[in-house]
Amino acid sequence: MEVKKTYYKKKNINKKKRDLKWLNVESIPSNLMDFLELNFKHKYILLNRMSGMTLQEVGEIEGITRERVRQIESKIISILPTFNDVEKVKRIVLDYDITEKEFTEYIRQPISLFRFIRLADKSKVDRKPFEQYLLYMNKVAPQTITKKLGERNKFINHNNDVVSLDVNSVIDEILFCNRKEYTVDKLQQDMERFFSKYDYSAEKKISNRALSGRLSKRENVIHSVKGKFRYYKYDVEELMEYVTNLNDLFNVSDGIYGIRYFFELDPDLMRLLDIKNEAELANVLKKIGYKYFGRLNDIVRQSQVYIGNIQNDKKSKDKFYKDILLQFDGEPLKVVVNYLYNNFYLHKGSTLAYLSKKFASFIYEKNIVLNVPLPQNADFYIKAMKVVCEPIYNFEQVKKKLNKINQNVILSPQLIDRLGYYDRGNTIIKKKYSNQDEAFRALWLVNDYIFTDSIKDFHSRSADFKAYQFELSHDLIRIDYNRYMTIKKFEKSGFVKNDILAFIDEVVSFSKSDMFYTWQYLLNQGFTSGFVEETCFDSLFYERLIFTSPLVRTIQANSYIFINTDNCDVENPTLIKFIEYELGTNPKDIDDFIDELNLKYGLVITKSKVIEKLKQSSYVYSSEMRKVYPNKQMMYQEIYKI
Amino acid sequence: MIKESDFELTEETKNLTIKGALKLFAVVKIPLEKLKYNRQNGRIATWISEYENEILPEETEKFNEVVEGFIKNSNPESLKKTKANIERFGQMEPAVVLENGILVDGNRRFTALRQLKREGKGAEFNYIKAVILSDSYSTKEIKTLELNLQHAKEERVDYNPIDRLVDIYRDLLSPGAEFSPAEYAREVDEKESKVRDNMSVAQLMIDYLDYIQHPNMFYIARQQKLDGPLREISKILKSKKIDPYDYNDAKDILFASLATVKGDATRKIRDMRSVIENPRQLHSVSNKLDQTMDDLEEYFSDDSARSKEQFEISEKDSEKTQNNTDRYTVQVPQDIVDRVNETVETEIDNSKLKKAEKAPLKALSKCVNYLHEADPQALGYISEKSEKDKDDIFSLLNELKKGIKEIEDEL
Repeated sequence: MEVKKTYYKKKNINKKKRDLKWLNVESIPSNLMDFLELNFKHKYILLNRMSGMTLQEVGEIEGITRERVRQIESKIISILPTFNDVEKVKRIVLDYDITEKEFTEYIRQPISLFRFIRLADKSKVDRKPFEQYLLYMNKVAPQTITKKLGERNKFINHNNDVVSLDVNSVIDEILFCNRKEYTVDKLQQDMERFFSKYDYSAEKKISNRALSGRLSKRENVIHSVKGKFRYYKYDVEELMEYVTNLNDLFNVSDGIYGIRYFFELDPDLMRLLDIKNEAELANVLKKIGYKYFGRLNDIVRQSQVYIGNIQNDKKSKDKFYKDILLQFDGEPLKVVVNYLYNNFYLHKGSTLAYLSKKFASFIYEKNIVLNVPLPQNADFYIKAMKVVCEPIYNFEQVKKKLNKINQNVILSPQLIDRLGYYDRGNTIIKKKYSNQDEAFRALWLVNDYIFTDSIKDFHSRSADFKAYQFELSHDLIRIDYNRYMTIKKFEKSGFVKNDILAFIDEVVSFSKSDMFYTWQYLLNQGFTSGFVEETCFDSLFYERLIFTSPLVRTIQANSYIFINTDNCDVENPTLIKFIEYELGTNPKDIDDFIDELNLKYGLVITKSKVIEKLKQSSYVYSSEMRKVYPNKQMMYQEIYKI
Repeated sequence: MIKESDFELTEETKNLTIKGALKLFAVVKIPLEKLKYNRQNGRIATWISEYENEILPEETEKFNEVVEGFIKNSNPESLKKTKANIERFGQMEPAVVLENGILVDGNRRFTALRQLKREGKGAEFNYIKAVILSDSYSTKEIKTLELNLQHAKEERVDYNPIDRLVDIYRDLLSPGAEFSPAEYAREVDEKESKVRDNMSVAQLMIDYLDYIQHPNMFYIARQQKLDGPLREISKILKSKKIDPYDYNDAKDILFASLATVKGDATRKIRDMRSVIENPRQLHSVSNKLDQTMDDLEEYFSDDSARSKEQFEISEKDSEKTQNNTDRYTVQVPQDIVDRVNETVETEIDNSKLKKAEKAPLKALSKCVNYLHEADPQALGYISEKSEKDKDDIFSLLNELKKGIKEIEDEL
């Protein structure tokens, strides 16, 4: 096998000797200042370059070309070792935007060090303001810095960083420090006051209009109604982590909804995302970008939300309202308005006005009169009966199927009846089934597998709930991330429901003495079961079966954490309770703890999540020690040895 | 080549995302002997790297036999489970194959079926259920599909991290890489920043294998479970506290430590962070280890002293790796190991503790700095204008006083 030498280059022991000879010195001292005392070769090239002369100027003095000067300079620098005195100040000179004068004044070291470092450093990096250094090191009084900074159009912000005194930074600063709702006028006042501290008001005037423009582009600003806005703690990148949760909101039937519908759908999520009202929700969605939400098409005026097949155009809108009117043929308009409010959160007044105006021809004495004609040809019904034959559908599914036969057909209550179905809100059910439960049974439980997607396609909470109930009764068994196996297939493979119950009993009795456990934990503890050996599924299968037990509660992390209700005094334990329990009463290294959760339970919980959760408890975290302590006293003991 | 006469249509279908759109494919039954493992697959490529100097058989069945051995060894437990499950319930998830018979997705299912067929468990195991992709798709489109499938939720769980790094190297870093980080991030549904992080870890893996003079022999990385420590090294080397001048020294010291560490490498590397970030300590380590690093390098590049055996793991050991977390270290001479470990450990001192001690003082000083922002004159104006603001000011001042008093009482 041929071995490439790509990484390490061998040092030549004689190189050092040759270098000394080239410099014409016997040895190189450990400090630059001592070295500069020596009479080494090309000394004046180095000194002149350090003094700020250009390559050209030095070349003219020495009578050599510019390029030669450059070569000699870089050779000297490459030969020289790391000098102790240079090392001491190198970070400051390289990291901060510092002048020679400031270097002498504050650092109080020979200027040659400064010049040498700047000469040797060819990188063109953005340096931090020098004031930042002074601030960190407590070299000068803060008010002096503030004053000096003001002269240079800079100030110290809430994060103790030196930033430039411009409109954007000041907006951020004011909103961050005042966590309340602002209007543009109010912000103008506060900004004026802020700038006046730095004698700066004159140039920094900005029109209300321009200020609004800036605000719409700031990351950490959220708008609500009537031009109000406030500081918002999430930026877009953080929000992206919640796209899946937000997407779940839109798993509802196609249609036009009032934004409040979604705001009220998941109060926990709204709290988590610090969204205070529906207008803020609309703005958060806009900030992330509608394209990340498959079923969300548009939000109009922070209020009307277009979902699924319903786009924000005249045709879609007409279709949406007309389909609904069809369901209420012969009934009072008021009933439709109430229906739209109850099911879609559409504002009653504006809906009434809109329908009365746009659909005036269908409204007679405040009643809906459509008299939709049924298709007349028998051929249509033969074809329709062939494609519409399952026990239960949602409206959209049936419409799609029928429109393939006849583009103009309208799904009226009469037609539904004629096809042998009846209407149950969002779904239509075959007449031979007396309710949704029977219909879903007949639809799902006759096959071997059911895909979770086909359940989601109903866009109906009752379908989701039905599937959940079937899972609890073990008529459906979750086998992987996108499929259920039906009890029918399970029985065909030689098992019965009682095998599942026996398995759950085994788990419950094995974990009697544990408060929390996971599937991984059970296996680590030596849990074995004939059922597992015979079925050999992935862990999700067993986790979901344990999940169906009424004796067990569940916390969802990357895998399921189960709680033995017999051993837990808290009604609904949360992840923080689990973390506290696991941390116990001794200080723990955070990385050890994360590893322990992984090894013992198979859980992947990030450090930042653990630290975030601990803020709700009495545990304290020291970032310097990278340790978690049960309480402050224990932290003091370790750090201050008291 | 799979001909139409070779397969039989089933009633099942499968959705796949290809060319950016969801497409429904018919599932067919194909006789097992028509298929061949995919040598480009990250998992298989890791194992093939072990074979570098031997020639893999060209003939399909011989080639499949060798790869089957790899797959069996890589995770015997998991294969056993898949096999038992398929025997009981049948093959539930269709595989994905190309027209030329190469398997894009479903290596383990294919292996299980091959074994069941050999064991004569029934005629239904002579076929694999799969969808066939026509050769109209480009290699990049197929690779994209493969990424989608591998990174789908259900598969993430048991994909070895080193195999993943090998994939990232091949798709993003190697000379033939076809993906940009943004494209890759989109396909595997991860943040681009995370993909970039993984790229730097993959690059470190390549560098490290170069350093120990075993370029591209990924199985070493896999046996030694290098992903954890390499991830730590990557984090440390990104630190802004490391002077660009010192970068290579820092990297060398970390690599030398990784090559000589005993026990939990991730932890050891993590602990080195404070040393590497402190220029004084870094220089001290670098000076003390100068000779040792040279020795180590010499040792790695000396072909005669290093036989291939020192990296190899016997069949028996490989089973052991499944059950315990022991790492296999490169066999570096003991005196070098001792020198590196002693030097590094003496530097990992109580600097952590010193920082922790002073933390509250630093916070107090920040607090005072910030207090000067509260302009007294302006506060006066505010309180004149609004009673509510005035109340707020007083309650804040009270809190401030309370805080000061608490501190004073302690002193």
